[in-house]
Parts: sequence; C-alpha cells; structure tokens
Amino acid sequence: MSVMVKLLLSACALSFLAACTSMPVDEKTSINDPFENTNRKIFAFNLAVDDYALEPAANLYRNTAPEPVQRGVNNYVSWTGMPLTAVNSALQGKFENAALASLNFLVNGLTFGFVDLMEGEDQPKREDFGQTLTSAGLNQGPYLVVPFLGSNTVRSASGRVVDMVINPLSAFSGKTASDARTTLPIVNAVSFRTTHFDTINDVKNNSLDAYARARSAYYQQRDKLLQDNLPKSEVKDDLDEFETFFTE
Amino acid sequence: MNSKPFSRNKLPEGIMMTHLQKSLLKVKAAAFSAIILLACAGGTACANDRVSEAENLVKALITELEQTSSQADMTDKDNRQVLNKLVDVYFDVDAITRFSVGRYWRVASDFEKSEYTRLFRLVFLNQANEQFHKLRDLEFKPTTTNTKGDKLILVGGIIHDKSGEFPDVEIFWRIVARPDKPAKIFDIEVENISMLKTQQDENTTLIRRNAGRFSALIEALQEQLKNHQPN
Repeated sequence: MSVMVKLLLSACALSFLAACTSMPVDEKTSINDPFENTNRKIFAFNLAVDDYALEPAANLYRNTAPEPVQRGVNNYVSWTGMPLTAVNSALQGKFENAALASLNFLVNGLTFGFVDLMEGEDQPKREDFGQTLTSAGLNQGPYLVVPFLGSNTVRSASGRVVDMVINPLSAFSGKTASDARTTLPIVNAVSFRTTHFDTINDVKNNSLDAYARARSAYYQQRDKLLQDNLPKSEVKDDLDEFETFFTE
Repeated sequence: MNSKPFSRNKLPEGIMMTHLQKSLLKVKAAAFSAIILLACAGGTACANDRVSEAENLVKALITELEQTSSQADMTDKDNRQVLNKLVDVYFDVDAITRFSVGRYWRVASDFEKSEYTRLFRLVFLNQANEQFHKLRDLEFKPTTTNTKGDKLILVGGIIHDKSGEFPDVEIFWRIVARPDKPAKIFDIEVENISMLKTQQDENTTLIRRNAGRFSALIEALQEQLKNHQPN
C-alpha cells in the first residue's frame, strides 16, 4: 500500500472518529470540544488502561530500575525521535534545528541513543508533523481523545499518523529493527508515565473533573509548543486572559 | 540698540512673534522636555521597583518554605498553620478565587461566593499540605523576569531538586504588582501549564455541564473534602 493511500485512510478514519458523535450545542463545554461525550468515554477507557497496566508498570519500573538505567531509556526514547524532528524541521524551513537533530542522531547513535554524548550542547527543539501542518496554516480542528494515545486535536492526531508512516527509522529492516519498532511505543509510554508519575496521579486522584483538567493541560502545553509554528497572521498580540482580568 | 526685544519677526507661516514670546516658548519647550524625560525615568524606575518587588516576593516565599519544610518536628497541624499564613501573606487569594471560576463569579449569589471561597481554600490547603514534604530539597534558580502589562510580572526560573529525585522543572510565578498594593502571587506556571488556568477550565466545565448551576461546583468541592484522606 502506498504511503499516500495509508495517509488518506488514516485521515478518513480520524474524520470518521470525529464525526461519529456530537452533542447538542447547549451542552457543549468548550468550543474546541464538540465530541465531548465520546471523548469522555475514550478518556475513561484510557484511565482504566492506566489503572490496570501503565501505572503499575511505571511504578515497578521507577522502584526497581536504577536511576542511570531510567536516564538511559529516556535518552533512547528521545534519540529515536531525532530523525522525525530533522525531517519536520526541514519541512518547516528550520534548517538549523534539522541539522542539530541530525547531528544529535548521528553522534548519539554511537551508543544507540542510551548515552547523551551531546549533553550541555544546544539541544534541538522537538518538531512533529502536527507542527508542520500548523506552519502550513492548517486549522487545528476539534479536540480528540484517542484510545491509548490520549489528548489530541484532529490536526495533531493526523500528524502523529503521518509521523508513524514517514519515520526514517522504519527504513531499517531485519528482526532487531522490527523488534525495536514494536517495543518502542511501550517503552515510550512507560518512560513517559514514570517521568510524570506524580503529576498524572494528581490529575487522576485530586481533580473535580480529570477530563477537563487533562484537556486544559494539553491545550496549554500544545499552544506553547506551536507558538513559533503559527503563521504570522495568526500570532496574537493582544492581552492574555490574565491581563484582561486585571483590566476589567 | 541692537537688541530689539519687542521687535516682530515674520515667521514663514505669517505669524508674528516677539523675542520675548520666542524665549518663553523655548523655556516652555525645555520644561516640557524635562518633564517628559523625568516621567520616563520615573516610569522606568517605578517599573524596576515593581520588578524587584516581585522577585523579592518569590525569593522570600522560597526561603520561608525551605526553612519551614526543613524543620523535622513539624506536625501535620503545624504544616497547615504555616501554609495558611503563607497563603495570606504571599498570594492574592481574592483575585485567585474570582479568576478560578471565570465569568460564573458574576452570576453566583453572595452566599455561593462566600461558600466557594471557603471551600476552595480548604481544598487548596489540603493539596498543598500533601506536597509539603516534597519541598524540602527543592531550590529555585531565577532566570528571567518580564512585565506583562502594567499590573502583572512574570518571574521565571528553574526548580532544582537537590536530592536528584526529580528533574529540573521550568516555572513561572505570575505576580500582581499594583501601584497601591503590595505585590502578591497570582498564579504558578509549571512547564507551560498554568495552575490557575487549569483550575478555571476544570471549574467552568463542571458548572457548564450542570446547566450553569454554580451550586454544582460547591457540591463537588464538598464531596471532594468529604472523601479527602490525609496522607
């Protein structure tokens, strides 16, 4: 199946997911979240996955794996993302970042990414295809909670699919490369959960509405990440809501 | 006599002006320039004062937290008392409470406002109390300070865990510095996530999903306090 067909199918699937349910306008809780009822169900599913699989795994990992091992795994996960950062940076015209990511990938490749040999040097800024789509002026679309993957917008979810397809690491063949590709998402998830162990538990256990809190955190972090990807016409120069609050 | 103080010179526009009038005009222009310069200098000095005040506020809070959390003989009750005091001294509780419910503050009754204020504070203290022991090995390294408009100042820095358990975290303190009041902390932004904005989104979502009933938020807070299990 060609890459284009895969992309089209993925985009159709996401559109279908987005369109499969909606709620009446007066019950909408956010202008960015018209599919909240479905999103909440998927969020509950993801929480159950976290309760029964991810949290225990992360807990075991953080309590048994020595700190240097955890750091090494974090470095490895970060290293495997470098080719995508390089490709997306180049697509966005950020050639310096693309060069930095390529250099980082090559140098740290000497240790298969487990040791950051470029520690203390300029680090490349992570770039994904969702950010590339933002640079191209594509609207972010509604909020989507994707099974296992969590918070997204239609644009960032589409970007994730494209990232999976165009990942240069998939060019490597052989059993080892195949095993690495299969286990990477699991390693990535456990590593992420371990790094944010207390924060995620706080959202789960101390929220009045964990879904709303997770959505808010996602948008704030994503907005910050996308600041330098927005076309100049979309960059807001007005007062933020905190300043507005004190001018009222 | 060469000087002709009252002689009239013809200006290009055809306006006649005496030497005295011209001299007065020059004096006025000089005075006006001086006032503008003084105002600018004063404004800059004033802005610098506000920035220093905001930075000092954060430093003072951190120092006080470090000193208190390092005392081994502190009981849970002692921690709560300290936190209660710190909240009043360092945080703009009134503004935080109002901001945390967004536009629904305006539609809430007086009773709902006072009840929400009381419950919100209790929940905040419970959560802060649970995190209190984690503050022991943390230190704050200031990096940047930026003014946002004429009332807000962002003091940025890195929270470093001396024990090495947690990685460094980027943090911004959003300080309200109004000319007539002491500076206070309004919000804390950790890794680009504003605590207050997140709380506001959560609270307003809850109210909206309950047909705009402010009392639904109060009920949810009461429920949360009822189920709260101290560590």
